[in-house]
Amino acid sequence: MLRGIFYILILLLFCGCQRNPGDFTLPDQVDFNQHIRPIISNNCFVCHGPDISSRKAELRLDQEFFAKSQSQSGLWPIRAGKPHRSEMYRRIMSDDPEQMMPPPETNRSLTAYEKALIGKWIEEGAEWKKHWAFILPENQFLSDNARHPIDQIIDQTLDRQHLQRIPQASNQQLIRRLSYLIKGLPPTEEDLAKNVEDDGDYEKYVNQLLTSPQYGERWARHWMDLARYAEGRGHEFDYPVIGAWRYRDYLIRAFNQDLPYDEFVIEQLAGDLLDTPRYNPEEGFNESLIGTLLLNIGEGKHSPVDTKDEEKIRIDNVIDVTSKTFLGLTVACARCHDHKFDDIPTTDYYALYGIFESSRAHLYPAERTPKEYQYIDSIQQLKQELLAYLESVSLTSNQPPASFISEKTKEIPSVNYTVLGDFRGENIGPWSSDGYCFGKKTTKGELVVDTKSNRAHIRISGTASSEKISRGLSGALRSPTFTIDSDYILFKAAGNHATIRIVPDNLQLIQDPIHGAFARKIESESLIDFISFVGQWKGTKAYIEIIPGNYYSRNGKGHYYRQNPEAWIEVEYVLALDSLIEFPSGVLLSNDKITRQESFLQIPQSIWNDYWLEKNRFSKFLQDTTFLAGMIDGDCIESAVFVRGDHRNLSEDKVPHRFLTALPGVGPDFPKTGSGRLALAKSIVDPENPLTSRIFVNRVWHHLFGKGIVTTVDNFGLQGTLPSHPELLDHLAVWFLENDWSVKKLIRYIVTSETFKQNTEADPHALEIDPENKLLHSFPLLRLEAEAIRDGILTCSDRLDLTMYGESIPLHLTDFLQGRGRPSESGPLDGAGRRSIYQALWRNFLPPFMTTFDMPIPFSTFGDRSETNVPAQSLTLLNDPFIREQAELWAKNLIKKNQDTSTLIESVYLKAFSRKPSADEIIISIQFINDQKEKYPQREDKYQLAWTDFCHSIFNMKEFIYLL
Amino acid sequence: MLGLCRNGFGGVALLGLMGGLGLGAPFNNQKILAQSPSILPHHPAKAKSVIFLYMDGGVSQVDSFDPKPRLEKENGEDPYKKFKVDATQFNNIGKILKSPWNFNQFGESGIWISDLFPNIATCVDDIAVIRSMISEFPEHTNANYFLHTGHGLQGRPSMGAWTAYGLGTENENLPGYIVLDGGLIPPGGLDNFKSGFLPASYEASIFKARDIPVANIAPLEGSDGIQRNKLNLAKQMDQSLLGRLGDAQQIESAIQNYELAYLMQSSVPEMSDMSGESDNIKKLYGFDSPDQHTRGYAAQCLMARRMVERGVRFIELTCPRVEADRWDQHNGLKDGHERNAHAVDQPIAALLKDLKSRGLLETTLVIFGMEFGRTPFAQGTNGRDHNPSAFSIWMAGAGIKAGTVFGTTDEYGYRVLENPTSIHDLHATMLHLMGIQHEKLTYRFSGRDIRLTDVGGRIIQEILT
Repeated sequence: MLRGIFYILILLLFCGCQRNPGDFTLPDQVDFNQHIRPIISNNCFVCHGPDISSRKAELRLDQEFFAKSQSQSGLWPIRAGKPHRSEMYRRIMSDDPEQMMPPPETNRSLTAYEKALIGKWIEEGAEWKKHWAFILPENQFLSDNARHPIDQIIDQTLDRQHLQRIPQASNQQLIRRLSYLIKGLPPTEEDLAKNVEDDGDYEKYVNQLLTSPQYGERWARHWMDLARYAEGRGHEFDYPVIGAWRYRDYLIRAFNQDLPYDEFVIEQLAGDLLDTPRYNPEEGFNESLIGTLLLNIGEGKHSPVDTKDEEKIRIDNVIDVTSKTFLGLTVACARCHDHKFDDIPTTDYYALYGIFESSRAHLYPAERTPKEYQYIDSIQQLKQELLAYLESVSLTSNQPPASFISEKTKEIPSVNYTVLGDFRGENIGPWSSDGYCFGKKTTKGELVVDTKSNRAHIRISGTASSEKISRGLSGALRSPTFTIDSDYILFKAAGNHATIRIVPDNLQLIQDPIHGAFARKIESESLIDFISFVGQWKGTKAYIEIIPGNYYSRNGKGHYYRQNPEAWIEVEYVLALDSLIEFPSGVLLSNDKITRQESFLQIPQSIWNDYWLEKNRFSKFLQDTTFLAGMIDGDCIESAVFVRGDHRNLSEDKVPHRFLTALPGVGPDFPKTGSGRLALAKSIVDPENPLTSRIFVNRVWHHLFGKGIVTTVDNFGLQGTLPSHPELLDHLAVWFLENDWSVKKLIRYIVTSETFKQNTEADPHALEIDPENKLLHSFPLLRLEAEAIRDGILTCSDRLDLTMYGESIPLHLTDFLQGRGRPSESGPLDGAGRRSIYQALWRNFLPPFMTTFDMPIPFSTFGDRSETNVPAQSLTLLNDPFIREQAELWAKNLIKKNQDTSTLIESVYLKAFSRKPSADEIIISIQFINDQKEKYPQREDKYQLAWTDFCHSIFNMKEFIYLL
Repeated sequence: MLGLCRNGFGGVALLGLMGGLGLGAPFNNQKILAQSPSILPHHPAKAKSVIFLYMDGGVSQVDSFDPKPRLEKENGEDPYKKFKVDATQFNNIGKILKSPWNFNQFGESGIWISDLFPNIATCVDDIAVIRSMISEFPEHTNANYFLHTGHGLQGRPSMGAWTAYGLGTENENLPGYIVLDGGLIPPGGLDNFKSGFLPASYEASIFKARDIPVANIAPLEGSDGIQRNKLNLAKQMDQSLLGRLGDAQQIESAIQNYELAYLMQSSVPEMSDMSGESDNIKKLYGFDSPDQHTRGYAAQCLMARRMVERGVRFIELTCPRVEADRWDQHNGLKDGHERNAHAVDQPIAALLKDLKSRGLLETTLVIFGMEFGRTPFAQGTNGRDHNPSAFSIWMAGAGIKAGTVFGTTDEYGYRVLENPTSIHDLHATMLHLMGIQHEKLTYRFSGRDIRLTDVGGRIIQEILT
């Protein structure tokens, strides 16, 4: 009897609904967030929610003011204290098909329990609250006793149901659990010899795991699920994301050095905009920059017929990924209309859109370190000295550049032209010089040397040049954003192994068909005209990019980038013109030509030698050969709203850059130059932001318990689930902030709770009351992820190579893996024994083993992998040659040990299951090995074959892929 | 003492275990369970199976099922003087180009078909042609994703995955959704066939029409007994683990999974073994054709029939790799289309006839479709560029009003004039025939109840019986 009542209570508590009409008890106090909002959000908001476009009867129930205001017809949707005078209540109670809400055609209906809840809530005064996730978390936990706060909170809810905790798991279970969950690998035999039932030793072991480099690999992989990490751009040919693996390595290092989470967030949104970026302590390169790859590793299309549409898709993905990852909000739902459920107007979406539209892709030199700046300085210094010498003996000219004069007519051209860039003066501005090679100044006043004759002159008219300091140095010269409105763009340029690109709508995969004219290879020793026909793209937003390098194809895959050490480029001016009648026969600065001829000087051999030798010595250190595709700021572009998501249908007003209006943060003070990504990042990590810390602690909890306190880990909006333990979530969120956003401390804090140490063997009584184990009366049974299973197999066979970092191991190709963009070479079957995180992830060629065991497809944020159970998994473990190969390797290693059978079986069990076999298990195993030998009567290696079969069977046992 | 279970494998009845979910449903996953669609089908199904004949690259409508005499008259004239020309993938717009093939009327229905498909022409009274298809994307990859998943980007569940999710499979020993790879995986890759945010269990199994049709299906062991012993050992240990844990449904399901996998090892090769088929049948399909691509596609079509017989829910055939690329004739239209047509025409006609003679066509929906059509004007001089504004597909079999033509294009076959039919409409109709109301087959992802037909989809009643 008593149990029956409990059962009902539990149903109420967990389901929030009751399927059996009449058989329920209402809570003492109805809570808006816990009880009411989920009902009205699910059932009413589509027509009476934030989105004006689908709103019916001009009624909105998502905001208190409107829900409680008298309508024009005199009715009160909700009248506090008076359910029967509340139209909403009357409608939900009605069974007249014309009147009832929700209307029959919506296929939605409220249960009797839900109706009663609403009635009671109105009667109690219809108290309204902000959506729980938008209220700043507060640590309500006040007890100062010695018990772990997590356990106190879990105890409270267990006590309410009169449930007992299950006893602590065994020593070996805990060691295995900690080892897999913290570093993604099974424990070593040495680990297993520890006694972690002692609290001190337990904590020591936790610390050992947290300081092992493998910790970073495990947690980086979790993050890669959020970042939709892949190394190719998918679409048709899966072109490379340049330096993608460096982002993977960045994540590993960030977790290993316990980079505070707020900095981690800031770097991934705005690592290029920091005053004091973080440098790698060993190798000196800029770490912060690498974070920005998050914004640039999405899918990408080549040859889009509509470049604006393609940009819209790319930016939508960035908004989707960043808002889900950092904020647990589905902001991308507000692309076409105000969010149907959450307080996110479509203008919020376009505020963010402008931020990302104002960001440009940039290839950063991956290994440049600040140490090398001194060589740049030294070269500058040398030049100054040489110039000073020359100036003391010669004249310099300071004539201003003349206007453009046609060589043919010697007159100012009569056709219309617009100057897009003119570098004959001293400064590069308003163009931006990103990176190192161009500098802010042109070559005006620079020394030009003819190395054969040792003659030199000082340039009185400038160019933008990539070799001012040294060839080999990387960088890009970019124009302001402009709208193409001419038929032609003319570049007066010279260079070698260099490229000029017209970048339409931030499109990076520029190529034929269609966009061939947008990318020009520059190969010319002297300044000549390069002309691109762009007439068909009038109206397209673009910028020009000048780079001392080339995009090229490697093994049939295009869009790799390289920079020849001898590459250089120089541009004198860029014009937009509508006619070629007077061009390109010569637009030039006449007096420059004359001066060049006349101002040559003889440089004394000794001075010249010194300069030349020194410059060459320094230049060696300035070669950039490796790159990564990060982000850099462009001009501040504010986006219009795309009406109903249509980029050809724009609102009149543009939306200034800002953060989500429903959240605190930097507010309206976003900079009016550049993208505002840094302000966005700071808003996200603002301690007043109620979401960021909650989202992340919930993710960590999810990875440790298999399920978040909020199970919809990527969605804390109204369509997400309510927290099972709100106090716990808030406690952890506050704790995390107070502990300097330290992820390692957070993990240590959680795993040292008793709740984490519980056994998995649930009490049947508790299971009856709480079958989904929401209350955590025991530790949940977890299946290992794809990566952990594969890494575990490699550990058993001793094939595991713990080498960290670097380019990925190519995918092992089989006949069944076909399609465009197929990698040109197949990798080794065993992935070179490296951990799964180092296996190549091409978007169109994901490793079948990984996807079979639920690694998500990297198109958006996945904080919660599915855990499927399908025959393909069994077939893989049974018949995949990789598994068989590892079993064989393991067997060979065992036989080499030359030990008796039961000792070997014991070692197999320790490796695979982190425990010793029982006596029965030894007997059965011995019998199996003996039986199996008989299956190979003709084979000399029957002993080894039998052991291979045994090891193969072990991989197929559930204990191998589950954490008990 | 451990409880010794020597039941062995292969003798365990699995019916009922799979519930209403797809093969190998993730029934240990509460998240998914909570999301499984309401009891399906919504209404009695006409189609038990779908065979989707995917014509990779885009068959030219004006050269196949949508005759346009005006092209003949105005051949060589400037299209800009005739109508508004949209930007195309290559933007190398040539002159109006007449069809290199003749059109004739066939059958009692008198449907026009070009010389490209002499065999399909003999089945014309079994098919319904839709001439007013439209897509939203002029690029292959997006158009392929759109055709397969109802969304132009990577990451959504494909139509086969949706049906597996909604209906499960008729035969637990075989996958519910199979792609028979003829040699060309379309642009966009295997993601055209994946399960997106649905659990991985619903994604397509990629088969080849040959003895070992799919990866990891063939036991590595020399004899069945060796594998059996291994499985028995694993099972015995698993059972003992289960005993220790008490209630552990995940583990129990995972154990059952092995029994299913074991059965699949024999049921899949049995299905793909075509040695028992009669010579007449093989000849009908084109097994003796001098064209190796016809032979290859014949094997795919015959295997598709065998899959239908065994209850596979959704089968897609991709194209053979003929010498002139797939149907994507940016140049050399005549040669390329002829090669492609020759490879598929006889096998497809044979498939329709074979299904019909076995009474299977009544319960099988056959769709001949592609991601978009081609331009009525040339690309360069002798090719055609992509055209998402009008193209022709046809359907046959279960619930289809045979001998119908639906929809009209303008006089050039460039744009749809009447009854524009979207990919969502195609999907809605397909689901409808399978007993599913497309608005009700949803899955919550990213806070939205997402469906194959997004926010569109109209059932094309006009072509249904």
